[in-house]
Amino acid sequence: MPNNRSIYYQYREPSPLRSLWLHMSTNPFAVAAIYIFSFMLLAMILSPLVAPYSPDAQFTDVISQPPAWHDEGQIRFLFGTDDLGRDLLSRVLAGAVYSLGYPLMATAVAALIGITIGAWAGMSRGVQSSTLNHLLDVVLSIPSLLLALVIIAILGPALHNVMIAITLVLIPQFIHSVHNAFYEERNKEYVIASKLNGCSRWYLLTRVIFPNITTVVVMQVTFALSTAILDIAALGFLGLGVQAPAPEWGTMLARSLDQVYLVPWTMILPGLALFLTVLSINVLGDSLRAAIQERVRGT
Amino acid sequence: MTDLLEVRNISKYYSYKNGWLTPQRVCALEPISFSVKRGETIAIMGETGSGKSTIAKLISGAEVPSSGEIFLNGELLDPNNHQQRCREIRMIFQDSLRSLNPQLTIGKQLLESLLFNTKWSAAEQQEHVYVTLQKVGLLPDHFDFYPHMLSSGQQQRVCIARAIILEPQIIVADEAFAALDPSIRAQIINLILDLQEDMGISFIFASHSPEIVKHVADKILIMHRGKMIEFDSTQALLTNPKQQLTKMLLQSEQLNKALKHTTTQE
Repeated sequence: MPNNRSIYYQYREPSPLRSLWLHMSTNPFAVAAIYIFSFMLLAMILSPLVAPYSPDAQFTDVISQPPAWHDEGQIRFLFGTDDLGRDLLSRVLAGAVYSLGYPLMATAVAALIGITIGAWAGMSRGVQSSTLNHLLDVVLSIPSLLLALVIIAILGPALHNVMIAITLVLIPQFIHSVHNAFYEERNKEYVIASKLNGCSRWYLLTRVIFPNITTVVVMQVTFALSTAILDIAALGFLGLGVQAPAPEWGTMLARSLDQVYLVPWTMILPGLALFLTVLSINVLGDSLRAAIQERVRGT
Repeated sequence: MTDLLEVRNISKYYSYKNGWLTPQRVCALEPISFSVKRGETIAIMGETGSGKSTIAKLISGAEVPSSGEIFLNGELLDPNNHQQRCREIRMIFQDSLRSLNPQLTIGKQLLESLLFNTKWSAAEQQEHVYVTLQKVGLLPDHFDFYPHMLSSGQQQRVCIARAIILEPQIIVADEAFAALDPSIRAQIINLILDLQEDMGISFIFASHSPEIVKHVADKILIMHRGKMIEFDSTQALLTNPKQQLTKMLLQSEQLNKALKHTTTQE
């Protein structure tokens, strides 16, 4: 009988990633968030290539030029120019590296360190684990921006110090959520069943428990990413982070504050970029979490 | 016939911390001893909270005993060495869905135990999983299914497949039939009886249902508040129960029937 398996079985289970996409694509907000976020990401990566001018180039003949859709605008400067005659489109594009690229990096590093320590803490028991937990509770009771401010005050305002501060602030949040998730899963029956299968600790950690806490990790990563973006922008706005000539979105907002009535577009456009990025990340994270949960619960 | 499994003075205490210094010790199981012969079926009966599940967990290694030893074929079992134990003693949990990992396919979960306990090649392992799935009345196609895609009877079959895949000598089941409806329960019990006959497995199970116990068990162990109050062959306990509780537990069903009978007549 050649291959009689196919007689009564035609249904193919989609791969986990594909079924995740199938769930996501039914939610229009999630799809919109994916497009906006990928657009921002693409703009960030391609910014040196697509930006029409250097972000620092000054055009003395066109100071405070309105955007191109305005009656007085020129198509040469799509988003207009600021009070020093710098092309705003180039600055917003170049600013994506500071306002999206650096937070991505900080989140990745914090996630790597935080998840490792959290997993270790979640698998340990007794005094070791409770000491860590109580210590983290103290750190977590302080708002992240305040903690970052304290670190900046010690290290001094500069881009690399901001990065260190943000990363350090994000790590305890990762440890805390991953630790709690592991702690909850550790005594469930399927983990005991796997333990009784004679699995090694490493296998138990990475293959048995970790796939079941992806929702927590996804939530935490998106939360950390939006926090990092907002914190870097806030520190830039306060003049403690990225320093003035660099086209960071928060710094641009702070600079345009003086002339907001004269040249509102220098404030609105970077602000809009910041808003759309954070919103898309939050919506994306939330729908990703829902999709993962739904995939497990069944179609 | 020699004793396959010997349990000596095994007990379990849980401690709860109420304050700073004095943890409260709660006794789940007082020291008990018994032995199981090869191919024998032992039922553990008792009220809720009488220590049935604790015995099952201690034997399978899911919990570490507070005192006492377990010998398998005269060899002492280390309570923390799961690798030594899992080749010979396997457990079927009460809730089949909760004891299956929701994020892994059935096949991967069954491969798990082969991965850590055999030195077979990947193809041999896969083949063995297919054979085991067929033994419990599932299809090789179920390899790629996730647990939530199966019915509760099929999930229980997967749990049985996981229990027999290493060809153990003892299977411990903790109320494995309670959640199933009667027809599926009958199927699963017959399946276990067939497997027991084919593979010569000793079977230890905790159960509420006197019918299953009477149908399946060679010996019955009656538990009451963490103590073993009777342990004898099914025949002896049915005809000549020494304790009132034994009588109650074994005859509860008939009692119900009698009551129903009288109410319908009135």
